[in-house]
Parts: sequence; structure tokens; C-alpha cells
Amino acid sequence: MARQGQDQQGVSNTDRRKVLKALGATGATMSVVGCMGGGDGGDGGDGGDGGDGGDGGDGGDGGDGGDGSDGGSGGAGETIRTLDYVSLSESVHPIRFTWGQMHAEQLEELGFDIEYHALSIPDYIDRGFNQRDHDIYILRYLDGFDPSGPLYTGFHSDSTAEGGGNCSLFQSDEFDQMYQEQSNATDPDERQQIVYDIQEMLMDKQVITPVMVQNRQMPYDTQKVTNTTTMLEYGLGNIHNFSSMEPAEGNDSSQLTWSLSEDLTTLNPINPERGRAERQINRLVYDRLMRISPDDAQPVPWMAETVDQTDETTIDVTLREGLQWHDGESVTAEDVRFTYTYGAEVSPNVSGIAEPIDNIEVHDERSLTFNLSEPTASFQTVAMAGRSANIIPQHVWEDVPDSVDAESATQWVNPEPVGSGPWQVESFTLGEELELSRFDAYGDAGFETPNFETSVRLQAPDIRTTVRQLEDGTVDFIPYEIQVTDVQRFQQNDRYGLADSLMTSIHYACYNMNRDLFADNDMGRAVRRAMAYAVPKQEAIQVATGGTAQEIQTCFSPGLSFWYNEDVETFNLDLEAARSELESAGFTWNDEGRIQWPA
Amino acid sequence: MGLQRYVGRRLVQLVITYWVFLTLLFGIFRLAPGDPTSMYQMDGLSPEARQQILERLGLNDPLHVQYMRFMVDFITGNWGDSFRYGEPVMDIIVIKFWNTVLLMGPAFFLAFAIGIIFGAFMGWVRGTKKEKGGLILTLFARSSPEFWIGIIVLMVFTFQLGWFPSGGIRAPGAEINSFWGRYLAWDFLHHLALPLLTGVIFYMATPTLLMRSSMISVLNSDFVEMKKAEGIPEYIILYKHAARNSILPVTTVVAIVIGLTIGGSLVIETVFNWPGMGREMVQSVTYNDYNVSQAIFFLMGSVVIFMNLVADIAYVYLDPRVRFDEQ
Repeated sequence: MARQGQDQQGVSNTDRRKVLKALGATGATMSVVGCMGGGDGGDGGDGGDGGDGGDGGDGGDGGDGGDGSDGGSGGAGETIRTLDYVSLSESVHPIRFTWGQMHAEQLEELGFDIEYHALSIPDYIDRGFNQRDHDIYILRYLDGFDPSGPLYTGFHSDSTAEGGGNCSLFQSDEFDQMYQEQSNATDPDERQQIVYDIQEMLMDKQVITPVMVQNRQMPYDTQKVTNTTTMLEYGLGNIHNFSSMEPAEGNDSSQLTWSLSEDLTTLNPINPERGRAERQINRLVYDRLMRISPDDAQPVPWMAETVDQTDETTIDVTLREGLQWHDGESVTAEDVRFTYTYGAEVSPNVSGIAEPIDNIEVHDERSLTFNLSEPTASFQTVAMAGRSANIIPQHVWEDVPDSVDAESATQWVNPEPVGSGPWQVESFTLGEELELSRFDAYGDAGFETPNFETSVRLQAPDIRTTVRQLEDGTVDFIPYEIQVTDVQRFQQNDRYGLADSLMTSIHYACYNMNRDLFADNDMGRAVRRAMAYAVPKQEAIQVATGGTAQEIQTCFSPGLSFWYNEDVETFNLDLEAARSELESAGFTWNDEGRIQWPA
Repeated sequence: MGLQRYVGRRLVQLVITYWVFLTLLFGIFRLAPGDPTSMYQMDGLSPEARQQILERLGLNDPLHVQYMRFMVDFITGNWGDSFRYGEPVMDIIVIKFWNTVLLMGPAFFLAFAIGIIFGAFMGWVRGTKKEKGGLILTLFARSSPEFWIGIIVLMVFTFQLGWFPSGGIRAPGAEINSFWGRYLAWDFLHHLALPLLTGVIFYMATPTLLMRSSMISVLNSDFVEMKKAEGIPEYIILYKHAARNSILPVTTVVAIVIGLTIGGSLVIETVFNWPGMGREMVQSVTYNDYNVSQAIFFLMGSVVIFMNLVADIAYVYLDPRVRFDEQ
């Protein structure tokens, strides 16, 4: 097969030993018999066909077309072809690599033939999101503080388009309708019930198999800083922490220094090509009408003094007094309207969040009304507190891109960002450092201002370097996850504190439902459920994350406690249950313990 | 055949080399899986926004159209904008280029200077314990991976002795006002020391070994015996007469080692968090930022191609025994 050659690292069965060794090392009690099945079943069929009967179809399955008739379907009794299990290479993402391999291991044990593809990031993305050339694809994805985003991205039929995040290729009118209902349900309890129902439906079918949510450990130097604030998803990178942190006793520096290995590439808040690095800086430099509270992950008024939902489609907002842009101009209600109307025209990100807006009425300098075209339950969390809800100044942006040297507004470099957040940009050298300074006028609006005068973000080539910088005293904290071995080292050293940060994105496996084996029917359901019973979640958490993760059974992080349905069916490692699922759908095992299609 | 024709032929070869080189550059990055949007697809880039970006970058056009556009643009000096930074490739590379040159240039120069002196000495003391010791040290440096040397250097000078910072190019938050302000600063030299040391240790081995073996063959020639018989002091024979005659083969590896140095810069830059071209190259390849990758590979490749040309011509000049029309 030609495409094996493209893999950076096609991991074969032999590498499983490594995982077994790791398992042994942590004392996990998993009974692992040899690679060739448990000798169960083994009934009849033409056991001699070498196990790749379906391969002939492989050549044609590049696209994500809905034909559903690719190589997955073998004749009755034929052995199931080798399945492509697509993951990331160990160097890129050790956690996903490891638990994926442990899953693949169990699937082999069950009687599937698995080829484990450990790819580079672009290759991995291209294969799963664009080419849809996978049987099983594992991700850490579906982040957000509101259920609408993850549900739409992961499961809506719109997201099966090329590049979309529905890598299960799940298409269901029933789901799409339920999604719409929860989206329109502005009563939280009513909405919670629908979201619960959705989870039950998805988990019964095992459209995805949720595995774990990482509880990232972010280190800081207790001799440098104290009074840290951590929160869901952002950890030490949240805006509240940048204000609450104080110099520790004996630290007379007025500079707060930190480093990250993720490249900071742009300071343009409306550029759609942004990663976590850019979003984090946007959060500090630009402000939002609402912010996600570190206490309960719900949106609370921020630039807005009050936010009143007067009816299902009307939201009245009054801005705080004394809000200022970094250049000294006042922040007005016009700026807010401008952000959403201009943003919707020029930036796909802003147009995404502004979609429910029918119009915005400005009443005076400080008050305005959002009129929505339909009830939108996620509006406050996503459109007022979310990642694309950075309010931008009209007097800077109204002539962009015409007045600047840029093709489009999203491509503008925005060399001197003017925001209204607690930090302003002093200087930025690509690939080296970003220097921020405290915006003292932020206090005029009644906000707490940071305790440090300046803050420097260093660019590091990798996570290891950031840890070294922490240990030699160059930086004060690292607002990012560090490797398990470093976590364990810091746990034993009083000098370093570790802040918990449960993520909102989840680790999960999804199955290509355009392929017959995983189709949205009873047989496919049985296969998906059987595969769900083959994920050793607890062991994977120990081996892959050193215990810094939580097992999950549904498609949300337990951090979103209001939405997390604890009553869904649970799937933990249980190969017997997996076998009975398969048997109930008519699958059989040949003499070598390989699974064969139902007769 | 005269020198002019020889140089002319080499220039024609150069043009062909560049054409092949540019075509490879174009092909390699576009054959790699993914596209410039890949790294953002899991970060909330919607399928529609992605298509808009691909359209804007012209990546939906047929490959031959892209190839023609690339060749014309590249040759006319229009290296385009970085997909990732949205800034002209030139602006991004210039600072990184100087960062790399100011690290690897001195490293290279020192490695050769020390290597030649040390190699000559080892050749001179051939057969003694000094030579054996030196040889072992040199081979040790030669076969140690660059990153490992870097880590050892870090361990000793940063974490044990605490003399130097663990990385970076200047102290966090240091103010920079001009190009010269960047580099003519104590702070810069303080940060330069360890990566420089690592580079010198690693690159010293090749000229040392070459110089040593070349020295040994020269020392066997009659004129050295003659000089000894004349009663000239040993160190004068060593460095004035023998070493000068041994140095020719060393000059020819200059081109090769410069190529290695440029490629190897990425390892040193990563270990010491040095914001140079090597690191930018890795990042731009990871992110499929074709324009930046192409430009950096082009610069790095050009250094090697150019230095080879210089070496070829210099060799003819330096050693009259080399004939232009090698048959």
C-alpha cells in the first residue's frame, strides 16, 4: 500500500511491547495475552485468507464522499481488513500517542488487525480533517465553555464538510434537530435537559468514545510569585492570574516573566489563523463585554456593567464608566457595535459569533441593545465572553485595510495594538519576546490592575526549554502543561508550585462512519461499542499522564459540571463485553482469533 | 583551457544547479502533507474560512500554475509574505539571519583557527602520548552529538557554576534601540558564550584531524629534514614551514564545513533557545509556511553552492598543479 510510505512513523505491532512494558512499570493489572487474540470464538469460516480481504478497496477512499461503500465491506465470513488507526507521533503528543497505542493493543487482542499511524501534525490533520482517510482517529478537541460549540464542531452534519471537525462523519437529522433545540432554549434547565438527552443518544451509539480530560499541571516559582489564580482550561494563562499574582517575599522585580513554546505569530485579534498563543495575548490586551468566571466557568459582566436578557432575543448592555483604550480615547457603545458589524464583514471568526445578531441599537455613549434574529442560548458565553469577542476600537480599525499596507483586515500585522485590556503591548520581536506593560487607566473603570509593572513573554523552542528557564530563574511561571516527569520532579521540590488546570477539550476516539464497519446502523453501533469497551481508560491515564487526567464517559469535560451528564452508559475496559457486542451483531472469529464479517 | 573558460563553465553549471534546486524547493514543500492552514484547523478555523485562505494564497490553483508563479516571483526577488506571520518573508528572515551568522560565523572561524593550530601540533608530536590524548579528545568531540555537547556545557556552566544564562539572546525585557545595540552589548556576549563554545567544540574536530594527517605527510618530506639540519627552532619549522604547506587540504573542506555549520545551527539554536534561522526553518516547515521555508532553504543552500564555487576556483588559484581541463 503506497500510503504506508507517507507515514512518518508507521508503528507496527512490535512497538506494542513498549506499551506493555510501560504498563508493567506502573503496576497496572491488565491481563495481556499474546498478540494473537484470546483464542475465543474461533469458529468456522474460511480462516485461511490472511486477513486482508478488504484491502482492494483502499485505493479509492481518498475523499469523504458519502458513498459508504469503500473497502470496509468484505463478503460474509471474510476477515476484516487491516484498520487504519490514525494518531500523532510520540514526539508531538506523547499522551495521545500512548493511549491510542494501548487502545490499538486491546483491539488487536479482540481480534481486529490494526495499523497504527503515528503522524506529524500537518499529516495527521490532513488525513483526519481533510482526506478523511482513517478508520479510527483520535483527538484532543472539542473545547469551549458552552456546549453549542463542541456539539456543532464534533457532531453536526455541517461539520462533515472538508476541513470540518466532525471526524466521525456522523450525519443525523435527529441530532441536528436536537442541536437546534438546545441552541434556541434560553431557559438553562430546559437546555440542560436537551443537552443531557443528546449525550445519551451520542453515547449509546458511541459516535465517539470519550477517554479522558487532562488536568494540566502548570508550574510557578514560589520564590518569585505568589497568589496565583488558576482556572478551567486556561490554567495560569488566565487574565485574572495576571492581575492577582504578586511578587513573593524577597522578589523586588517589577517584571513578570514567563515563557511558552507555542509560537506567537500575530497580534491581530481578528485574524482567523490563531492558536492558543495568540488567543492568550488577545485576552490580556483586548477586553470583552463579559469574561468567564474562574469560579464556575459561567460568563460574568466585565466591560459591561450590566447584561440584561430582557426577552429571548433581546439583550441590553450598559458599559462600565471610565473604560479607555490604550491610546487614551474612551471606549464607547459605538465601538462595541463597530466590533460586531465590522468584524462580521471582514473576519470569519467574528462573523461566526455575530451570526445570531439581527441588529445592534446604540442608545448613548454607554448603553446598547443586541437584537438577535433567533433565541441563542450560547450568545453570552460565546459572543460576549468567547475567544473571538475581543472589542476593538473603531477609530483604529474603521479604515483598515485601506489605510494600511495589508491585503485584508485579517492579514494586517497590527503593529501597535490598541486594546482596552489590563496590559498594553510595549514591543514585540517575532520569535524572541513580547513585552507588555500595565495599563494603569484600567483601574479607572473599577478593575483591579496588575501588581507587576511589566510582563515579558519569552519564546522557547520547546517545553523542555521553558522548564529549564524556570529552573535557572529566567522565568517566573509557565502557563502551559509540562511533561509528566517534570511534574513529578516539581512535586518533590518545595520551591515550585503546581497549578491544576482541568481542560475543556476532551481526549476521544472517533470512528469513520462513512465506512461500512462503523456505519450508522445496528452493526456499526455494535462495532463502535465493542471498540469503546477496548479502551483501558484508567490504565491509560496512569501510563500516559502519570495520573494527571480524569476519566470521562461523555463528550464534555467534567469542568463544565452543569452540562456533564453523569448518567450516560459507561464504557471501560471489558473485552468480554466487547465480544458479546460483536457476537450479537453476528461477527465471528476465525481459527487465528481474527474477526470475520457476519455471515 | 584558460581560467576564464573554466570559470564560465562553472557559472553555467551554477545556473543549472539553481534551477534544479529551486524546483526541488517548490516540490518538496508542496508534496508534504497538509497546507498552511493545517496547524489552525483544530483551533477553530471553520471550513469556509479555510477555503478562503487557500483561495487567497493561490493554493487551489493547479500545481503547474503555482510552479510558474513561484519561479517568476522567486527570481524577481519577490519572496512573498509569510502565511503565518502575515509579514514579508524578508523582514522575518533578516533578523534571524544575523542572529545565526553572528553565532555560527565566530564559531566557524574559531573552530578553524584553533583546529589548524591544534592539528598542526598533533601532527608534529606524532607518536607521543600527547598526540594520542589529543586524538582521543578530538574523536570524542567529533562523534558526540551536537545537542549532547550543548547539554553538557549547559550542565556545567549554567546549572553547576551558574556563570552563564541557559539560553536566549539577551536578558528578558532588555531594551534594544538599534541594530548595533542588539549585538554590541555585554548582555549579548554573555548569552553568546555557551552556544559559541558548543559550536567550536563540535566543528573543531574536522579541521584538526585533517590538519594532523596533512601535517604528517608534509613532515615526511625532505625539506623539513633540511630545515631541521639548518638548526632552525622547532616551532618555526612547525608553524612557518610545515603548517603552511599542510593547510591546502583544509581550505577545501571549508565549503563543506560551512554547509554543515549552517545546517547544524538549528541544533545549537534549539538547545540554547537562540532565535536564529535554523529554528525558524523547523517552525516554518512544521506549519507549512512555504514562503518562509523556501527562502531559508534557499539562503542555506546558496551558501553551500556559493562556497563550493569559491572553493573550486580558489583551489585552482592556490595549487597550480590543478589543471583546468581535468580529463
